[in-house]
Amino acid sequence: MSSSTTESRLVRRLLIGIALAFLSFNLLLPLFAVFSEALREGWQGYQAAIIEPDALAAIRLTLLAAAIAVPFNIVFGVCAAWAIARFEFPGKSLLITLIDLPFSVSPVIAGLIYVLLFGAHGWFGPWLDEHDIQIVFAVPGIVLATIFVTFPFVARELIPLMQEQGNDEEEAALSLGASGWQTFWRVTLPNIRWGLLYGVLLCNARAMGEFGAVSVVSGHIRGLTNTMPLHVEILYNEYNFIAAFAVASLLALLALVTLVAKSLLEWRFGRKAVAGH
Amino acid sequence: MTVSVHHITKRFGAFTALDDVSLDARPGEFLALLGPSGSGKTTLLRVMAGLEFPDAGAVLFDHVDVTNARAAERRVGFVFQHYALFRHMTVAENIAFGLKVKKPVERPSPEAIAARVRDLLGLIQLEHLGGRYPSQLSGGQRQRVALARALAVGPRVLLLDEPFGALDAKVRKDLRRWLRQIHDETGVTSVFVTHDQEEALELADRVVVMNHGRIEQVGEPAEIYDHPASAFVADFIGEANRLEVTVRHGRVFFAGVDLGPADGHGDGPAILYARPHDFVITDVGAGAIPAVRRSHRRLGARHRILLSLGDSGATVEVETLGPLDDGDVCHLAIQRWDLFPA
Amino acid sequence: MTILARRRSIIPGFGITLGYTLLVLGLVVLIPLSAVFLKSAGMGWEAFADVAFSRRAWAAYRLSFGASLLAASINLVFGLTTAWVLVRYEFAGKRVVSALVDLPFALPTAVAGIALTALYAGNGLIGQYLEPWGVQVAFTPLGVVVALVFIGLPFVVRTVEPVLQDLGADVEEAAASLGASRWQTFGKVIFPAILPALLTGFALAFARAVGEYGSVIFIAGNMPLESEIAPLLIVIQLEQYNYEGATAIAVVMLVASFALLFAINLLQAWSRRRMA
Repeated sequence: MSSSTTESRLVRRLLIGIALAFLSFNLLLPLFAVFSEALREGWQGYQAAIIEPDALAAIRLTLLAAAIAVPFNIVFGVCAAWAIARFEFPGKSLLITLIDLPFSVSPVIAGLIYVLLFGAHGWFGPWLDEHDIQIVFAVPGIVLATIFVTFPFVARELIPLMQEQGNDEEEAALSLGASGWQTFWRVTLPNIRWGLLYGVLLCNARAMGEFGAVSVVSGHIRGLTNTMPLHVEILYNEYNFIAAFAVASLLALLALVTLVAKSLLEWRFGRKAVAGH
Repeated sequence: MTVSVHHITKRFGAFTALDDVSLDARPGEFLALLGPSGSGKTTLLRVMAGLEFPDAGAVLFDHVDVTNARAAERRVGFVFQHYALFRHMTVAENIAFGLKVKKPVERPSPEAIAARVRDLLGLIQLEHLGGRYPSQLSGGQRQRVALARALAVGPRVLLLDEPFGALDAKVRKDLRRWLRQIHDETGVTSVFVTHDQEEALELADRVVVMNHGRIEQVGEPAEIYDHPASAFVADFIGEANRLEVTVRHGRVFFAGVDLGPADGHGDGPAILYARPHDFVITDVGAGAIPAVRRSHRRLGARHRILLSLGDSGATVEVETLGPLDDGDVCHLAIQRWDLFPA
Repeated sequence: MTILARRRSIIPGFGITLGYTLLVLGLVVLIPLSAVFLKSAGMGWEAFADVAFSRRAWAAYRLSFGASLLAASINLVFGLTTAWVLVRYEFAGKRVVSALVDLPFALPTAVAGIALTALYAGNGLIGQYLEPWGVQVAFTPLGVVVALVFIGLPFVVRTVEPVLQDLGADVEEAAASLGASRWQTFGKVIFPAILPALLTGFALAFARAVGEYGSVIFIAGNMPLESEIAPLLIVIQLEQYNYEGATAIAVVMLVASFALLFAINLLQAWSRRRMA
């Protein structure tokens, strides 16, 4: 940038000052509040809130939901990216829009749709009831809702990446006699692994932190169908603030780890976040 | 208008882009800044424009110091290598931009602006494309619009940074002639940067040859070609054969052959540059270098013959020299050369 | 078309990957979403309008859309400033600031919600200074705006940043050499070039805010007709086992979301044409 196309030092300072002040108020203070509230009565209360059995159950359920939803969306994302980036077919941009659809749906509606399908009064409700299968207000509903809200993450990272890389290397591998699977494992996957990791990171953060959708399908049964964010809500509504913020601080730590890992990936591989997560 | 730079030095970190450069562009002149990449020619142009500010030295427009004036205050027309057209404006809006951003008191009326845009569209022969967007034009058309935009404000000097650099060979040639024509019609002092010597020699009134942030030579094209002031210029401009020679008792020797007087060069090793057309076949005798024809290549209408000289290991490329076959032996004389210290 | 695609490419797996993609997309997203519309279609217009356009629902839409609009506008200003500062200037800690911008993407909404409530409550870190001035943020519609500003910021920053980055320096230099002041260059050259991206970021932030639930319900007072957002109204209907009511409101929200999505796609197409 040459000197004729930048602002005076005063204007620069002013703009930096405005941006930093706004970000401090809007982002830094809330983050700080989580930890200061959690530790308000010292380390003891903090520890007690986390090792309490209901909290541990919530942590286990959160990990379980993420452990199912994330791999599911990895498989889906890779498949979708392969079909979309490697082949030409009509309706492709419509397909991409449809894959992104869950991002434009309110999380509450994401929960609602599964209640309408699998709830007691839902389409499949009576049939599920007959066979003694419970989806809504149970773990399967939580997993389904989590899959829905994190559905586009991996696909939308991989599609532009694979489109940019083109077909050359795959075609070279195939012309050298590699099978389709070998080509995927030895050529494609190594090329997309960082983009994939990036998508997984964001997918996981959302999966563990989702609140609205999960809240609708969970039924809020303590120790059984409460994920960490739901447990935070219950504690908070019971005016047990220390415990609520203690569990929240674990989620905030997860967010910080995600941000650090994401920045490292961007810094090393020059990637930029795709807006709209 | 005269554009002068006095003792300009410009550094980017540890890299010295311009090292004590002084130069005058005379009124109405078409001046070329020629040099390899990294020679400082673009930086010099940007310093003239006010897009860079020198660490030392002064820039004068008609003897008025404008060193610290910003680009916006200098009234220069700058044409960028990649056109730098405003994508969201039509061709006509691009051309009108410089007039529309003038202060209200200096700004022409909307009718006057429209008339000026029409004139310029005529000048660049794109009368019917005023409503198009830059993305709908070819590269050559875009560069013409960029030129019209620069001319619209009535610049005191026109500065062009590799104006044809991004165009293909055919378009370059047409546009080159056209630019010279525009210059002759408008008479505005123009300075353009190029790394293409053919372009510089064909187009410019005078050529400034630059290397490593310094000016090697300033002169008319013929002068630069015929009388290079330094080994760099001799090597960089046109084709030249380079021979390592020795000066003894005021005479030039190559591989033991006495080529002629050294014109005042001191004794010791020296470098001789001679053009392909400066060699002739001669009989055995004074100044004749024994040579063997090695190969032949054709460049369009011209021919080049590669010969090795005696057993010195040196080779030269010369113009066609009568009926010779590969492997034939002959003797060469050099009619003209330039001698530089080694 | 399957055959066509196969013939043109030697790369295998088209049928199976596209098939799996469509199957999963259908089962997880499209069929469940269509359930909302089918369910509401069975309600009859009267019953539908009764819930979807009741006084309480109108108040909720007004709050959801109004607060989202206000929050997205605030983010438009500060998001542009942040993106500008991050792209154009150098300052200490820039990398940390850049990473922090994504915090709202990474921080669970419920955590953001309780943290903001703690800050803006009457005895909170910020609230205690606002209280004496008679400004109440927590448990009022103003609180809703605060939460929506929090979650919307990265959308504007991350949409504008790359466009600002790709804007060639030579275009600005051209404007300067043509006599434009810095302000004129910004107003006539830079701003029009980033406008499509800016509007896209605004629309993305707005769309997200309209559907937002977790970060809002803690800080909003959730008083019917006053500080109750539309997604909460759906939850309340569900808690009363009024599935039809919940569905009716959901349909209104979905239609609005899809309209926004359509607008965003148009904006992005416009943006791409501009930058071509």
